[in-house]
Amino acid sequence: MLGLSTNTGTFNAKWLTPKDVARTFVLVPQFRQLIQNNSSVLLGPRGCGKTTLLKMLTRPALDEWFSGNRTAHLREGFKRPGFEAIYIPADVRWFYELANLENIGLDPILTAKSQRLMVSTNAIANLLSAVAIIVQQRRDVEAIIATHLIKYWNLKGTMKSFSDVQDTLCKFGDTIRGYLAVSDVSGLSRFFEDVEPGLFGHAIDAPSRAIEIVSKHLPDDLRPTSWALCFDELEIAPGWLRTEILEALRSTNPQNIFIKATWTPLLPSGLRTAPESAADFKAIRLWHSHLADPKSFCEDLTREFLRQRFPDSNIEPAQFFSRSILASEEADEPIDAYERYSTEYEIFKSLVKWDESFKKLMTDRRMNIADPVPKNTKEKDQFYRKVKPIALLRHEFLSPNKTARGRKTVTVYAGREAVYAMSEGNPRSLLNLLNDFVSYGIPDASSSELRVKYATQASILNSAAQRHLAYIKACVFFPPRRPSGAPSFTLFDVVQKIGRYFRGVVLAREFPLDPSGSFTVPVDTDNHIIALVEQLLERGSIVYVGTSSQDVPLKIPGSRFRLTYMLAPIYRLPLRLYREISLDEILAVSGDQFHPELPLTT
Amino acid sequence: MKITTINQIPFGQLDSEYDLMICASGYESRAIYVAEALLSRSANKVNGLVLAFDEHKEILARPQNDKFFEKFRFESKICIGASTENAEVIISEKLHQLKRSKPSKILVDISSMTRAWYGAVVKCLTQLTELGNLEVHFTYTPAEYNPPSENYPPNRVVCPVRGFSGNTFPDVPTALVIGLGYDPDRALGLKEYLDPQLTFLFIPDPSTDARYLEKVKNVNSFLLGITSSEQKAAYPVLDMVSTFKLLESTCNGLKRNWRVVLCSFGPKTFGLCCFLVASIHRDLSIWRVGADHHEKPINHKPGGDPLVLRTSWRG
Repeated sequence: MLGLSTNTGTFNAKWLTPKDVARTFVLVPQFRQLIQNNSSVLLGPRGCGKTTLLKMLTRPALDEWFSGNRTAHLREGFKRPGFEAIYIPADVRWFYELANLENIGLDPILTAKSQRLMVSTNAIANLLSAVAIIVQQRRDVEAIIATHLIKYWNLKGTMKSFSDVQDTLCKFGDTIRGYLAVSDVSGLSRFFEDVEPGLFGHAIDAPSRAIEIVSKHLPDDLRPTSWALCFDELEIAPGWLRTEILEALRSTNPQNIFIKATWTPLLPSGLRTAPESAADFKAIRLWHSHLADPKSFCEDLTREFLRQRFPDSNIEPAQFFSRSILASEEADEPIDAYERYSTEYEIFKSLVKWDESFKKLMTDRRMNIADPVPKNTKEKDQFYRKVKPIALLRHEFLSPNKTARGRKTVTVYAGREAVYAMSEGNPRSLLNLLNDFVSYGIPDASSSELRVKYATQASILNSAAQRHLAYIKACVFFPPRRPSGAPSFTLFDVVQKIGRYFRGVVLAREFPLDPSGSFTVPVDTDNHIIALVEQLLERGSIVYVGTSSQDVPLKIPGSRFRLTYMLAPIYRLPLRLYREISLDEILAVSGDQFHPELPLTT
Repeated sequence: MKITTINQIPFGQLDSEYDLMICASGYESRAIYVAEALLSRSANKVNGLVLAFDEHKEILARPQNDKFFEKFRFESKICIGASTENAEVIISEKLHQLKRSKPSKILVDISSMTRAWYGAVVKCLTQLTELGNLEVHFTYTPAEYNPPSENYPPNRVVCPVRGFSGNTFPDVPTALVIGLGYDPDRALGLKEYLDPQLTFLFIPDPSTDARYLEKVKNVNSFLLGITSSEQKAAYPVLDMVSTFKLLESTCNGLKRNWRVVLCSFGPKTFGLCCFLVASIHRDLSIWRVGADHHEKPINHKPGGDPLVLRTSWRG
């Protein structure tokens, strides 16, 4: 399903079978953490691959992944998890409609029973799908397990098969829906009288009990030593469900049952058992603060993608995209980078002629403005490499009199490193981009020249940036009110302010050797701003910058963030992490101080 | 009750006598257009119910509308615009007062009703068990074209409409069916929020006003651009039966592989069709997205002959 065209939809593991997920799976270090025998929470924004990793824990996905020779190099040294994973699906619609039962005027006990029964049956039905694969068509084993489940939950009129047990459980949902549709409260009450109370219990109770029954009656050769209940989209679940599952992460569950769940980039907090200490579960971070962090993953995913799309070709990502002057770092630079007549050299030489502040910076640093070539490695590392992104952006976007250029085709946001940076190492985002490059960037797929032109890349990346901005603008969100007198913002307002501020830093002031490019949320920030920042973080529009690659934020105030590189073409920003300033400083700048003479988009 | 037949009749052929008339009184001039035309033909006292908005009680055409309904002795009930629950209680009580001995005939003018209110009407009809047969005429007066507000409020509310929540298990993907309107970002916001596997767009073409269609295409150009042609359909705004059939068959087809969510941002006729289709397919959900009272009131004046959808219901 990698071939799913993004002009009609998006790549989303949620709607792929585990086998399909496995066919396109690229191993990431976080997966090795996830397969450990412990409870864990995958933290990250939308599209960062949480669902993919949960689905990859399941037996069909692992079987598929291990069956092909094609991916042998990717799973080198990898061992299958020691537990049997049960993937429990969910989506926005499911959780919202479940939560909405609280708003239809139903008695609170009937509401709770309806919600809990649906949650329990969803978990058990998916557990049985996994067990059906474990028993491998052994009807006798299936009949014994089904008999005990039927007996335990008093599932009258159910045949001794997993599918029949699943049907009966699913009918519970239909029945609830039927009564609710005609507002037959007494009918619903009567129906619940016949349902085993255990199905209305704690969210973990019913699947745990089912695992216990299944384990007890599975033959030794088929019995998993441990299990993992994998709750997808827990971050959007109704409050009671979130609380119960998060608290179960560190409660005394049966020793052989682990919980794996997904969450936003912000570590869950405020629970009775305060899981932020992370003593009893592993927090696994799925985003990248620095440009270089996701490079290896992006390279592997792109290579796999190209192999699938062009099986007769040995095209490598570096050939497909070519290098990005803007985003490439030392390891990606050719040997002659910064040498006389290199691209970098020509940019510096041109810029110094009309950018007085750049000329002054070079003069102050005793660089040769007539022949801007590093005299030694130290000078290359500490000056030329450092100023390159800003020099390139100023060269690209500012005319000699420092006003913005017209609407020319901007190709600065192109090249392999730029594509990887803008994807943020987010697999959904990268796959969508790759699909677009193949759909629109290759004039003829049978051509021997499998390379996407810079201009085409830039155009596709710019469209992706515009799309991200459009989604922010359309985002449904209602932040808490601000203290009286303070201005209220939308998500879009905040993004615009951040983007425009840093654009000003790069393009509208003196050439900065050490520019600001990230921000810290002050500790005394009000709830309105905190809610906006949190929402932008969940949507991947801003990225948390920790002190290490495994650092996760506990709360918004006091934490450092940067704007997603995906929006860089809109605001003409470098693809590099720069020093932080206070968010207050950014928000305090009014609209007309944002250098409106600079066009915002390419 | 279940809907059994549906057809559209010219406004001129509308009956003059009804067992119950349900209207809305708000700030739009068109709120009384249908009632005024009917009551001028009828000599008898009308059994009327008017849902009067709890909001904006003194602005635009509201005072005149209130006076009109008072003059014709409509029973006025104050109702919160966004509240299905509020409307449901009022409408349900009124419907239960209808005589059970003979088939009843009801007129519901949705022209100035909110989605929550005409949704409540459909929900109440589906929950009626006492009445054997019922004929319900839904009327809608198209408005003169008004461009959307410049100061457009952002999306603040997204949720299922009360009583139209499918509550289906998340074992199959979601398909989102959207009736496009001319408010920027509403449709895209819902698509982004629900993250459906498939999005199907209904475009009001031909519309009652070419400028409206142009604006719809313009504000939704991004969404239209990322949606394949197979997932777009034009529907004739003035032909409610065709719209209903098109929507019903689309949902019926999608249901085989998807959990369907409907949402209308366009003309109320499309919104009504969504509710009627969902009354047949109870596993469909209807969602709403909006600015939560932050939209600026506009006086929508009558812009043409009212449309009449005649529906029959059986218990």
